Amino acid sequence: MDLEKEIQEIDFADINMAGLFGEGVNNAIEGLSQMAGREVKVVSMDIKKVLVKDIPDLFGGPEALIIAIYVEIFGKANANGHMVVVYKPEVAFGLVDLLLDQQNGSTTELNDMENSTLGEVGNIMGSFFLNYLSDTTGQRLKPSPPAVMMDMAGAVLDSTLANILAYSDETYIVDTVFGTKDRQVSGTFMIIPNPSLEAG
Amino acid sequence: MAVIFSETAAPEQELHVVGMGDLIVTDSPDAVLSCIGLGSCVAVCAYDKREKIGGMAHIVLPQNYGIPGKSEAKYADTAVPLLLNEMTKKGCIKRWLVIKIAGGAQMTLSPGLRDTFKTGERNLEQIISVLRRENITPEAADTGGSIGRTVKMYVRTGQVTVKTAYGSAREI
Repeated sequence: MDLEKEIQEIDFADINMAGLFGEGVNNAIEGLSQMAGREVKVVSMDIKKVLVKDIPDLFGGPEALIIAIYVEIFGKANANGHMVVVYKPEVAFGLVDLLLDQQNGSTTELNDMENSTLGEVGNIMGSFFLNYLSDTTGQRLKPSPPAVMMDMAGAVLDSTLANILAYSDETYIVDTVFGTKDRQVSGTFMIIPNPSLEAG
Repeated sequence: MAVIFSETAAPEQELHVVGMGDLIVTDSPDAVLSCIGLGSCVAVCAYDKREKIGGMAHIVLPQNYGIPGKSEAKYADTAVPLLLNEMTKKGCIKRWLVIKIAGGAQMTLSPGLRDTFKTGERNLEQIISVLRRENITPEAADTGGSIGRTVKMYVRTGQVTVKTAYGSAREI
């Protein structure tokens, strides 16, 4: 894994944050592994600092269809935030197939079953990620129930991005490829801490 | 010869994408202003019917807390006056001004999800209240719900269209 190399390329001041997110995501995939009852491993991880306004372009532009799993994070006053995991629709369908042990390509649309499977992914990843963060930072953090959305990238992400834009023009995203021996899934994590500015 | 209308292929149009927190005012008749993929963000479209001046603001958040160096066009309370001001500078007269708004959805709907942000709703409230202060009522609105929207304004005609991810564009 290039995690360490990636971190070396990041500003010294940012190392803690980037490393924290990286380990958190690792932990989240470990959770997924337990959910699937099979070994799910992180194949590669790429932590990037990006301009917030460019984020929809990373997913094929603001009008491209994406599937996002959204979890709100509750902590003490200053520790609210969001966690968003973004997949291309066909990748999310592949993930559903992987988790439900179906043949790849069986899932083609987002119905109740798929929705709740992906919601569960949000639950597991959210709590594993937050557990790691809580353990490391000593803050008590709790995830909300997950919301699963399929819509235009710009629309799905803008309320989340709005909350970052309120105080910063840049944020971290974590591109991951993970999977079992025979199948791989790539997704992008965004973890957005929210200073109490917009929480009111 | 069959003529198929294709909005993107029409060579005489110039598409201006209004990004998050941007604001564009133009009197170029070929211009098409567009906010792509609006969720909780709101597109405020201003049009002078007589002078054919079009303006669009892509509003992200309701209130500007005065953080230095942050764009005024990002926040409803400062973006709406800025838009009206820029329109006036181009020669717009309030009497001929038409305002249409679209966006302000609540994308993150889920049973049990406490939404502490309600950004879309608060954006809309703030925009309406700033407009009311200026004695302006939007002539058309396509707001709320939990769907993404792409908004386009054709400066030549003043038409405003809204397209969703699963539907086709329709005029508001």
